[in-house]
Formats: sequence, C-alpha cells, structure tokens
Amino acid sequence: MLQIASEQETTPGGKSVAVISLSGELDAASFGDVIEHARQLIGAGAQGLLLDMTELAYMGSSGIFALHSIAMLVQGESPPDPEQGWAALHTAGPSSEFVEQLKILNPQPQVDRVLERTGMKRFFEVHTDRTQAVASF
Amino acid sequence: MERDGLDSELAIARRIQLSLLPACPVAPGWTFDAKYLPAREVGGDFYDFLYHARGEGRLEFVIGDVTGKGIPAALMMAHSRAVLRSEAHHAGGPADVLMRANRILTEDRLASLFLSGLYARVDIDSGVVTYANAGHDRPLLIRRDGATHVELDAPGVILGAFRSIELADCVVQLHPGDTLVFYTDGVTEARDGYGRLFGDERLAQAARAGTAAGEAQAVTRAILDAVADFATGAAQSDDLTLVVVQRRPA
Repeated sequence: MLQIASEQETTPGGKSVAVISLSGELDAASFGDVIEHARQLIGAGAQGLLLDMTELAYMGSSGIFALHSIAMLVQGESPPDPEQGWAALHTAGPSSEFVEQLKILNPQPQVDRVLERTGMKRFFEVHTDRTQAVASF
Repeated sequence: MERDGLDSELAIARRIQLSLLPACPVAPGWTFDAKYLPAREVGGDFYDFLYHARGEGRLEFVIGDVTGKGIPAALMMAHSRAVLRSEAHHAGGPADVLMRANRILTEDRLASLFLSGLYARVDIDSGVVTYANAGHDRPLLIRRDGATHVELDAPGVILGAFRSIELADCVVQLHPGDTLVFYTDGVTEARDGYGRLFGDERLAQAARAGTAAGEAQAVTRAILDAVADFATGAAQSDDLTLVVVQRRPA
C-alpha cells in the first residue's frame, strides 16, 4: 500500500518545485500511481520534482521503472506508457549525466540499498535536508 | 483464450524456460549448485553457465534478474540470456560482456523492463574469480573458517535503462574451502506472514551454516530451507535464484 501526497514549493531563484511524499511500499501494484501523480504535477507547471522517501518503507524494482519514467517526464519527453513507451524513453533517455529536474530526499536503508545497487545514485541527486534539496533546483 | 488453454500454454512456457537453465558444471576441485524458483509459472530470473567459454581451465557464469514478474519478465529473460551468451564469445572480460549486452538491450528497444546481472569468470586452477556487477545484489564470500563473510562490492548500473554505462572488472581470490553465494533479491526480500523481509543477515547466517554442513549443494539447501521456514504462511512474492560456487578444501 502506497500513499502519495504533494506540496508545492518555490526555490530562492523562483523555480516551482513539487515535493512528492511517498509513504508505504512502492511496488508493482503502486508504481503507476506515482508516475501518474508526477505527470499531473508537471502538467500543472512543476519545473522540478523532489521525491521525499522518508516514509517509504520498501521499494522494489518497479520503483526503478517509476524513477526512470518520471525522469523522462520531467525532462519534457512524451509521457511513457509502462507497457509500450520504452522506445521513446530509450531514444531520448538519460545517458550518463545527472537528471537535474528530479531529486530524491531521505531514502531509508532498504530503499537506499536498491538505489545504490542499481546504480541510480549516479543519475539522481540524493539529499537528506528538505530545505537544501528544494534550494538546489 | 480459455482458462484451460492459457494454463496449458503457461505450462509449456515454464518447461521451455526451465530448459534454458543449464546443468551445473563439473570441474576438478570445485562444486557448483544453482536453484531457480519462479514466483509464478514463469519468471524473470535466470542463471547460465558457459562451459570453457575462454578455453580449458576457465568457466564463466551469469546470474540475472529482470524487473517485474510473469510472462513479460520471462520473455525479457530469454532475450537477455541469448544476448549475454552471444556477447560472451566476443567480449574481453565480464564487464565488457555486460556493457556489450547493455548496448544491445537499449538499442533493441525490446526492453520494457530492466536487467540486473552479475557476470563472473572462474579460473579453475588458480582460484581467481573475475566479476562485474550491473546493478545486481552483491555476492557473499564466505571464507573457509565459515565464521566471517563479506559482500563483494562492485559498482554498476542496471542494464537496458541507460545507453552509456561504465562497468569495471573486479577480482577476488578463492582459497580452498572458500564459497561464493550469488543470489537475486527474491531471497533477501522474501517475506514472512507479517510482511517482514528475510534480509541480508538471515541470508548470511544460512549461508554460513551451509558451508559448515558441506559443499555447494548444502549451501543452497540451507538457504532455501531458511527462506521456506521464514516465509511459512506467506506467498512467494518474487522470483528466487541462487548460484553457489565453492572451491573444495585442499
């Protein structure tokens, strides 16, 4: 079971950043909800997304799929379809550089381990302080 | 398709998938064992042994985990295995095999899923194991005394997601009596009836107990028994795969 909440913040430089708080478990049953939530926030004008994982107890490999998909959305690519959209993602997908518009806050040990193991930390900034994280966009 | 027909197709798919998993190799001074337990009829985990792919005295193997479960993961598993097998014949080492496979998996655009994988080469005579890790769980090394274990660290990125990745070969020396345990996250993330995870420490305990009891087969048995005991009353939530490599005591 995953609960998703979001708040809008503004950086000192005037950028609109949406903080998405995830609580519970991000798995095959819930990853689509996170993508859809992010899609709506981006559509509403968010220029950056901060995924607050403080209360996220578990993330399976579906969470990696969600991160990759949201990274593409926030970079202005076509909304991905989890079943069919990967051609577009691979064409314009993140290469070896940081995805600057999507950052992660406070992953707990199990989640942090998944991020570390799968190499995702090479592509997304991970923060421990929310204020600093928002200001970094 | 009618339910009976679908069940029949799945049963065939399961047999085909299991046929892709090879028998464990036999090599003087070594024991190998591997187990694969899909959460459903078919799954996305796999292992493969490449017999003497680099000539006599060397043996290579891979363990992989496709994100997701069921039929989509099984199709990706079969494709990934074929790509890795093909690239193994051209590549210079484990990291090169995985990076070549990554290029193909991303360029093919067949991948609606990702693959984590660990590729290793064993030098039968010297005990040197060269390996590279593409976003996979770190293998456990249990030294002969059985009292200690270490996780073999190797930086890496999952395959199929990013076009350009850099992986590196790592080396570990296995002495007589040492054991390597390779696994997928279906082991550590097996859950009990309360939703708790099996975790790293239980895995290490079971693996150490297994090495005290015998050779590679005893280690897989000890781990699978420990997972089964822990998960009593809970459905298997993910595919589960183990590959155990032990250099026989002198």
